[in-house]
Amino acid sequence: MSKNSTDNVMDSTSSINIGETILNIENFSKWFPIHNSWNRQTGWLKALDKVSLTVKKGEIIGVVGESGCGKSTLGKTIMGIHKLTEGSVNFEGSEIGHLSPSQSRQLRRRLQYTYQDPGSSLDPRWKIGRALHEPLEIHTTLTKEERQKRVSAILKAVNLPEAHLDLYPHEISGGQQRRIGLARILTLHPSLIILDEPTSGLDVSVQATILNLFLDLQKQFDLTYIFISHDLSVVRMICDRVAVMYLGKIVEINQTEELFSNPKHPYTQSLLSAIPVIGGEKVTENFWLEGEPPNPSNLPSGCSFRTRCPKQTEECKKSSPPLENGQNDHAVACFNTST
Amino acid sequence: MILGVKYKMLSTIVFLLKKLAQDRTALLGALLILGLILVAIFAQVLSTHPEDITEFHPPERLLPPSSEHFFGTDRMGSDVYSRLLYGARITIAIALIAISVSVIIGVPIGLLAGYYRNWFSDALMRISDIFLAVPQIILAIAIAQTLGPSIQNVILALSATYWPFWTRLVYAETRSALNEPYVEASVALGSSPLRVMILHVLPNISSSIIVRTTIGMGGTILTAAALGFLGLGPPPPSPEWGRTIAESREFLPEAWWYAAAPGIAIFLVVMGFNLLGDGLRDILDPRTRRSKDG
Amino acid sequence: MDKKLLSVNGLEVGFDTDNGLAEVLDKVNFEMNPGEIVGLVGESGCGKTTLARAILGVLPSNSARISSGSIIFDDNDLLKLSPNALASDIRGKLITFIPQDPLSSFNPVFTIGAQMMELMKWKSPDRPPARKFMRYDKARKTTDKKRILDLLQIVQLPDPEAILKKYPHEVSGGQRQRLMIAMALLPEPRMIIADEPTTALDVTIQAQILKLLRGVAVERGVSVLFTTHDLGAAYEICDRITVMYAGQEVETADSKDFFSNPLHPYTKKLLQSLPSHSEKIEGIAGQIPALIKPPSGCRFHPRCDVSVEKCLKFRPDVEWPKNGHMLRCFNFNSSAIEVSQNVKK
Repeated sequence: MSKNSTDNVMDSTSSINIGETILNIENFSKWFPIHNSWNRQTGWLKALDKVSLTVKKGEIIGVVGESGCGKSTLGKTIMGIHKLTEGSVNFEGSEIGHLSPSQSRQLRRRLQYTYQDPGSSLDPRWKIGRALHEPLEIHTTLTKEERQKRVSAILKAVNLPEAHLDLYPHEISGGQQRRIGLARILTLHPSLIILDEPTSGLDVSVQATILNLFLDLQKQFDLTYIFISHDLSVVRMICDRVAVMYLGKIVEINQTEELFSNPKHPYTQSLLSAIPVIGGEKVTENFWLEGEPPNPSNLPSGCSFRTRCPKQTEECKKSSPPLENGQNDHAVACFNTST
Repeated sequence: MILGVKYKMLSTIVFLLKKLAQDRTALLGALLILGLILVAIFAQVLSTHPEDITEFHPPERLLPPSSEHFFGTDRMGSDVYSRLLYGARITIAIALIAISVSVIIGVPIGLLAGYYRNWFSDALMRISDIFLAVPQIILAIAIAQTLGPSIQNVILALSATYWPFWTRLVYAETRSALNEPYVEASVALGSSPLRVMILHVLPNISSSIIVRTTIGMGGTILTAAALGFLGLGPPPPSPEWGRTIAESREFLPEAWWYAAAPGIAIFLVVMGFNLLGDGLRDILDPRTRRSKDG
Repeated sequence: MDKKLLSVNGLEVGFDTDNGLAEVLDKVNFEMNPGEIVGLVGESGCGKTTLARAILGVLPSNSARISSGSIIFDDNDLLKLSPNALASDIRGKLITFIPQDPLSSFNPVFTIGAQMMELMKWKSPDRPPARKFMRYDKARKTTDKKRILDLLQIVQLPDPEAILKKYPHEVSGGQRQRLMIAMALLPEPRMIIADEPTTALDVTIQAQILKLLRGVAVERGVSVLFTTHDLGAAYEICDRITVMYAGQEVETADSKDFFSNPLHPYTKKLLQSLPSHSEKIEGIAGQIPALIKPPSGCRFHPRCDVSVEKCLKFRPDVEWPKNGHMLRCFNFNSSAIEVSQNVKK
């Protein structure tokens, strides 16, 4: 494990400009083996199935979907927390998908990840100050004073008082824990952050503050975000583009406003129509999507959504529709969008 | 930094003591252990006939308890009470050293086996299984036969058979700790395996280790006494408790004090460790704590 | 005035914690009429779950202290009933419960059918008045089983016979919640307490479950106490909404009136902080207070833009500025806060 002494410089050096591709995943799959009670492998759970996505520097791209769609697995596999089954991940020009953890450590340093449950991502026996020093201890050769300076600067950037350095995780609120988690990865000056359900569990009044914080930090630190969430209204607030996932595949991707006002894929349409809108028509009166997603270890042939889709045709049974590119970054995986 | 660590340890101990005070049975246990420690340290001051450890007075043999001999005398005329107090030192020494050695061997093996999931960890666990399969007594007898009865060999026998308990415990705890998000997060930040094991996993499993150690002391003392009883412990004239009970056998039931004193001592000490261990577990294991609803 | 089904008066509940007494409910008033769906809305720590549990009588006995107040259900003060009476006559019979997490409410080692039959054995409307040991005869078993299957159909579970033979972990989250609704309806209760029943569900499943819950409640004339922090869900199915903050109830109104014309500063700010795409969302500055030494008077005053001296000293009285609209605020008429309507045309 080598420490990079050029990290003593406090700026993020990157040759990639705004608008260029910072992350590209192609045919990205993650399969989990399924074992029966005799510990024999009986099949595969295709959590991610040939997903391709391009993220541009400076953008906030949302990944939405319901439980089991694979969005969390997507984040974790890009990070290397899960080992990817096939496909490629290209970050800042380097291929990192199949490298071992120690080989990719340097390359991955600028790619970071925040956890869904921020409290449990902090060691309960470590004081917060110590947790904030940790990434710097691992990756840099800074002295204690220099680290302290960086930590203080980051703490200020996330609007938390210095007093928090002496507290334990359980002594601060959920919203504050989230900020500490964020601060911890910001000490490494990452360029891309994968936010996994960053507003879940937060009270509504605190949600707004956190979202504003993300936007401020983006400007201050020149960040790109992948924003994974099941809360579509939050995603609509903050994301430039949105990708909708269903059972391991991206079914539609578009600029945010376009997606919300003009969804093309039947699943996206049902998803959006399920969101309660205060003051508007009641969802429960007209909601049409029935049943539940099929068992992910036993997917239907062809398009996985066809069992619940009002537009399904023979073609949908035979093959899985590819994610076709339309204009303006819009892509839909459906044979029947024009109907 | 050292001062900081000492302060933290002190405040943790104070916190523990406060919590212990609220739990009556644990408090009882703690007091018993404290009593044992004090007795061992101050054996010289507290005993009435300190010379009886090595000397003996046959004319005074097998006298019942009296104001001069609180627990009577044994077959050599020595004061049972005084020998009991000195015996406490032996008991503590054996238990403490045996457990420390087992922990020092067992915990790192468990950590390594739990962290790396490969043929190496499997091999380690199989080795510990082998050791676990051997009854302590049998192994101790074997060691004593080959090397001779002594206090060191008792400790050796106990350590050799006890370390797998810690390996098992730490292995299981490490495996579950590795699934915790904060460990994952630390790895995602780039922590090396050593850093994760020592700085993250170990502190978080330490409470299980502490509880197990405390309860384990009781068991170790019992086994040590059993070994002494079988004649495999420190040879005479050592006042070891198990040996004393063995000696008393031929004089029962008339000289009841001869067996009762060490017997009750062993009972109190083992119970003390068990109660203390239970109390510690209630404090340290958040799951068994009183639920706080809100 | 119609007779009220449930009337909570001046309920004061505290919890013993390591750091002192947490004043979780501060002399709360709350009521429900027969046949209506009332939403109890608030953020974490507001006391909605505690209130729901207090009504059911399942507050943790080793740490909860009820210091004053009454819970009148159908002319009986539930707080004065013996634990046995509560358990056998009220809970699971007249008042049933749908929890937030259906999985942990099922016993994992018994089949679903076995657990539902067990419920019917003790709480069925056909059950003869309590006798300690009673034979569960075949006739009753048959009618009860039919009742169960009928209800499973009503909650739209596919293949009810097969589901009865399954174990809880073998069905999905949405299906489990439907089962909980079925179990809540089996004893033919007067009131169902649903504690955040859709919080853990995906939004499409939530839509289905909300639709179902409202449907069966309205059809059977069962009242529902629906606690949630999600105002959208409350909007979908509630007739009336009560807002709580840090252990105090602050506003109650009919659903329509509540969303179009909220009066309490907290409610207004809460509605404003909901994500909307047309303007920058505002949070509420400050934090939800700790309940161990809570703010005096109106507990929202430290974060309130229009608080006055009086707000620190006294808790605002119950007022009725409009028919059916209850409010506890001294200074709600101040125009300091504008309500931005989150209305999508």
